[in-house]
Amino acid sequence: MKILVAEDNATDRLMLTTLLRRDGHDVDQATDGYEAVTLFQKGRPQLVLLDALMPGIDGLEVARRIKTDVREDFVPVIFLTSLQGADELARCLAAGGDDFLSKPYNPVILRAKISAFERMRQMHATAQEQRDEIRGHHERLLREQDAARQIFDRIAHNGCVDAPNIDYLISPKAIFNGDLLLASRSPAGHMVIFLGDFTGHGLPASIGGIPLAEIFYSMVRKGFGMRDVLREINAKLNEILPVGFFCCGAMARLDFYKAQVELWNGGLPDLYQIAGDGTLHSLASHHLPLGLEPAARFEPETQIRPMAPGDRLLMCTDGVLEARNDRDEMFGSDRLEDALRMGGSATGTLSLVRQVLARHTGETALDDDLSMVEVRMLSPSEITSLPQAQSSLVPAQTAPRDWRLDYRLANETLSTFNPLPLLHQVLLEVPELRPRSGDIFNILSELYANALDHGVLGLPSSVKKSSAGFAEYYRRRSEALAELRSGEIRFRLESQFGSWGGRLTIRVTDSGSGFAHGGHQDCPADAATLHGRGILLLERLCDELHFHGAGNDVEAILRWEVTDGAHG
Amino acid sequence: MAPMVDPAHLTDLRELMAEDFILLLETYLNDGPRQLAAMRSAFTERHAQSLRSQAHSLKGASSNIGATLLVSRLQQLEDSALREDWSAAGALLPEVTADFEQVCLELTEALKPGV
Repeated sequence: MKILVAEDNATDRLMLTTLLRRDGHDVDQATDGYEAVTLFQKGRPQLVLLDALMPGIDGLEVARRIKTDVREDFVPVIFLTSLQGADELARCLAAGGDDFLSKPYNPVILRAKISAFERMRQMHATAQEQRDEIRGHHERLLREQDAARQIFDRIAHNGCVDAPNIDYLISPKAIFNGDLLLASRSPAGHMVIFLGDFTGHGLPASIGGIPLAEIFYSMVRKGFGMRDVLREINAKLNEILPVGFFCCGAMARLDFYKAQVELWNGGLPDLYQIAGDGTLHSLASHHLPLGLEPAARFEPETQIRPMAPGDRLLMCTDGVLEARNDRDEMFGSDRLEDALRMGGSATGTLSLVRQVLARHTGETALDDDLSMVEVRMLSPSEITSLPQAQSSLVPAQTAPRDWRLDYRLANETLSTFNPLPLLHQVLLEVPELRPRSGDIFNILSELYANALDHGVLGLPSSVKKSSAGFAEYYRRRSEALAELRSGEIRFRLESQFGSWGGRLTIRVTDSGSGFAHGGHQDCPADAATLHGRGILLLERLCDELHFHGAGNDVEAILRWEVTDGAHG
Repeated sequence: MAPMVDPAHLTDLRELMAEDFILLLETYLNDGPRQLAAMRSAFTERHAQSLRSQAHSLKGASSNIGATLLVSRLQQLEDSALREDWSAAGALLPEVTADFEQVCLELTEALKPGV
């Protein structure tokens, strides 16, 4: 070990130096305080033997300077002293001294002290190395988490979470929390929202969010219905998540044209629909969380309800209900509902809930990840302010423009399969139709809904006249679908193209007995009834709309003009 | 008269220092008079801090040599310097000088070959 001996009297200096060198140490000698400081800075010894009383600056001051100089390193300072008084000894310790060695020197004690401090010094050095290593690991982890967060956000916030009718609160406990908020427009112009809460925290909890978000966005944008999206998410999470990991979640689809909402809740606290007058309607979870059940057993039941423009829907994770105050009481659903009833103000209910919640928890830290989202139903005139659904299609120079497709669905397939995303994709291969992607999806889905609900299933649209009838209608519809054994829906799609322009014909025929359409006697054009909107919407979206036969054969036509590029 | 330097201590020291034993005693014999001179001038100039520091230093060296009685006299001198008790210091200085000279005689004896 490299040792500095600072001692003004030559006899003691010689004696110490001789003893230390004999034990193999490398010794520097200083004869006064100034020389001690200089030699310390130059030679960087690992241990210092220091006389307390020296000419020049005394040993106490030397010790102070050395201890300041070495900062976090451990360089033991042993005072060489025959000082007797407790005060003097205390002053040596206060100046940074680690031990004493009294005169006359005892070589056995000297050796024992040196080796004790050598062990201590090594332990300190090891601890520092490990601390630096941990610090390095920690910094790298933070950098990696930061990069991962950016990737995650790019995937998860790909949609329209920042739309003006959405307000949300995500309070992260770390860089990652297990909560996930997704929102996207569908091709039909609906808005689909998902709030999820993975079990656990941190990286393991957030990793499952990546495939979930990808499935959500790609399927919602292609026009898949909620049940299909939920089925796909469940199957994927069930496949990839380890045992004991799952995702509580809720999904809502807001149809602005029909002023209705489709809801599903699997393991999140109750969803609340808040009317303008403060009336609450809640939807409890009736499903297992996502990722628990194998694909074959997972059957998502959704509920469809009317939702007037201005109504709000609130989803929250259990962190909201479980937020504790300083008396360890949870926030709970009663407090939440009280806050929601007070809401409906212009500021939105979420900010109110946030305030009440903050008052409840006070200074106490939040127990869990805590996320809330509130989405407001818009009137059709307001939706122009919303971001459009993004299309993933790239323009093709060699696009198909002259073709015909005859697509027939029959029997049980009708109760299980949704053909709309597939047909929509086929139609979007025609570049001129892409700007009307949303219209086309709505035309397809209205024609299909009419053919299936009123044609094949024979449900009368008049049931939906009242808000209460809504639930009844959808109950009867899902029963009829489950019992469906025979029936047929035929799509005939034709794209024609020439110097005169282009034309798309969508003709949908069903095996039903037809329905009332002529002149819409049962649904005057100015009525705000819910059931007539399908046909009114179709008439607005199409360039031509024809009903053939008994009404079970409908033809919709869209035209486009030729542009120079279209011939390329 | 009892020896000023403990013979048993000196024997241990000879063993401990081996070939450096002679150098150690010579160092003490050379350094001591210089320190005594410094103490006398510090006393004359009434420089308490310097007197105390020099007495302390010689006391340390003397204790390592085994000159027990001299150590206790130097301790008293150090204390009197700390108290700035100049009359006590003035009385102690000649005693310290005499004791030191006696210690030197004994050490010189110990340095003689064959002892």
